[in-house]
Amino acid sequence: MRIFIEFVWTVAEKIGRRYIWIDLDEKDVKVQDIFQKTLPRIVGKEVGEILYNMYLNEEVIVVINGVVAKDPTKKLNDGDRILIQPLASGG
Amino acid sequence: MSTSKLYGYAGKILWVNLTTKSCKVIDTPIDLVKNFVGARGFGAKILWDNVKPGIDPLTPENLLIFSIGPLAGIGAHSASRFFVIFKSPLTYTYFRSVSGGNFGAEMKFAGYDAIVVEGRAEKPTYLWIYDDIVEFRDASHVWSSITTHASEILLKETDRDAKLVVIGPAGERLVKFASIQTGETRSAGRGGGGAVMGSKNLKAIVVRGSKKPELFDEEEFEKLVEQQLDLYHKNPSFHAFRSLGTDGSVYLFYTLGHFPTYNFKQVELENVDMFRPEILARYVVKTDSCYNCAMECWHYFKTSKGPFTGIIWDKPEYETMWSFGGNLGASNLEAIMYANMLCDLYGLDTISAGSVIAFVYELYEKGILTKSELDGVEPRWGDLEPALELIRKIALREGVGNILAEGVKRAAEVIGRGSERFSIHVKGLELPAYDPRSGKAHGLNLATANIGASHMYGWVYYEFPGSPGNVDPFAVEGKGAICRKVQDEFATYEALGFCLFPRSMIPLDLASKMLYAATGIEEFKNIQYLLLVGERIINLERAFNVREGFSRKDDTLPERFLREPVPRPPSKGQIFELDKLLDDYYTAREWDIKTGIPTRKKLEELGLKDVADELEKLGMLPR
Repeated sequence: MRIFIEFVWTVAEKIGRRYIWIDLDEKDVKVQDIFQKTLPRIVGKEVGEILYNMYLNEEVIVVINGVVAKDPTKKLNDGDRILIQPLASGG
Repeated sequence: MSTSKLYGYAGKILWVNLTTKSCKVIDTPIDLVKNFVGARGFGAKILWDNVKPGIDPLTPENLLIFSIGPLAGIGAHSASRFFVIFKSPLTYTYFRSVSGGNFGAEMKFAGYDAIVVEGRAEKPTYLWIYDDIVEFRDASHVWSSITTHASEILLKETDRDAKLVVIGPAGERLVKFASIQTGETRSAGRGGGGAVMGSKNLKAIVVRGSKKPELFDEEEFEKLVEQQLDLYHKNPSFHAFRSLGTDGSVYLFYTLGHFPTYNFKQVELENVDMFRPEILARYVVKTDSCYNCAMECWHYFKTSKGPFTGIIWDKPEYETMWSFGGNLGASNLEAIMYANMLCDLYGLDTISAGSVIAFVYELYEKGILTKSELDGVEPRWGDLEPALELIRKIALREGVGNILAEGVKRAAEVIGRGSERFSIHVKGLELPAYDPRSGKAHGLNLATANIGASHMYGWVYYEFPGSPGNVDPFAVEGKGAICRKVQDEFATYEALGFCLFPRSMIPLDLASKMLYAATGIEEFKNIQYLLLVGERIINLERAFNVREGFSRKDDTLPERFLREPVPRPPSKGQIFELDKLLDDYYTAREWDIKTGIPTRKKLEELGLKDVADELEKLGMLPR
């Protein structure tokens, strides 16, 4: 399964890059796995944990294919495009 | 404990007649306070009571009501906005326009909960209000000047510490979407309040005050303000908002199917990466805030390269990034900043200005308008130079600008030749940066809002960012109730005078306690009571429009949203299911489904029997 992750704003600054394509061998990958398994491999466990806690506290928003994903157990599919950015509001 | 003394409030309403150069001061009526709380509520009630149906909004009979909430100027954060209520020359509906800055708090210090302006001055005039003293002063020397220059001169000849509202050349020329400006860069932008002010020959209102309202329980109030600040600091939105204001959401909202592109054609925007927050944040050189607001969401951007080098101006907000960016297929940030500054200087609403110009771009693309009809301007998607020229032409009503100054609805009627299909508005008010097809409750709000397509009339946070609560933005079921709930809630917060940006950080329970501590009015302790005030305001605003001849037929959206599926993800294939959504909305509102008009039962439930009686007398109440 191949997914695309886009990091925005302070998340991009923290991660040190804006985009990443990831090939995953696992099946049944969930949103929480991105923070707990995938990102730690790339940016270290600590940053992965910080971002996951921010996501759970709604400080960071996750958007999958243009739809806000608030459920950490939501399953990902091949080709999904994920955006991770600090919560922002419009007007 | 109940009280007859009005704590928290200024306690007075100033009523100015420009025709007779006279004014009167009345006590703020307790019934008005209890039934409508303040700010938007006061404006809605005063407008309903005093403006006869059918008047031309640009005649002396129209009122221009500046009102504030009870929490303005007394230490609450984000609660000193001022509201401007009038019959709109753009929509011919009830209208409320809102701005931050410092003018609202200064009104309170001068001793007024509202300033009501009627009539028309014989020659250009400005009002100088210092506490109880009201002077009608000649404004001929600043007439025709841009907003900043006029402000500078008027403050010099009154009081450097005074605060003012002012119109620019656009308002003087009755451009139907002229704004009312305050403090250089803040605007009560929408609906053409600037044109109403211009029609009254009123260039500015300058206010200075020295009073401080007495609070019912000052000690408790201060504790509650501490709680408010604590909640702000604990909320992640607070930090995001302080960093970049609404601009933190531009790229995100594009991803969610909003920040519509190319006059809502919604094809993918080239160079959308330019709107990423980390890029926008590079332009920030200074921050500032409205009166007593810890949000501090003003961010001054500095341009430093290319033909627009050298500007330091408050940033284009999310809406303006869109109206002169995505909606014109453009991503030249420094040109967008320049367009934003021009609109502030001329006194134009950036949303409507950008939308009218996007309409021109599409007509040119389709061959409906030619270069010669556009006075030699060649508008091509992505190029903002023609837009800058059109801003000037609109503001000064020069050449084709004279047609465009009427707003997109009337401009399309004048141009004809099928151009109506590309005029994106509801009831005459140009749409903001949200695509109704990408969020059905958002779309429903735009279709039904009593002031036309205003996102701030009921910004449905459930659909995105989905906090608190999260619903499928594309679903249709249940959206009527959600839309109604948010509209009522927003009306409540606006009756209290709060800014809507930090609304999610101010639970209504806390707002209610603050209101009680400030005023001592028992009823305000009850959240349900306050929500009922919000619903009452919405119904009264609707009744005003009904009296003007509006009904279900006007709660609609441009054909583009009803027939053309969105071509880009995530909303690809979506259209707006108008009839089904409207039925659901009217049902949720307990209004007559056939006409979209409040029933007698609903109006009486809300204590608006007199309103029902009047509509019945006019034969406008559904049977």
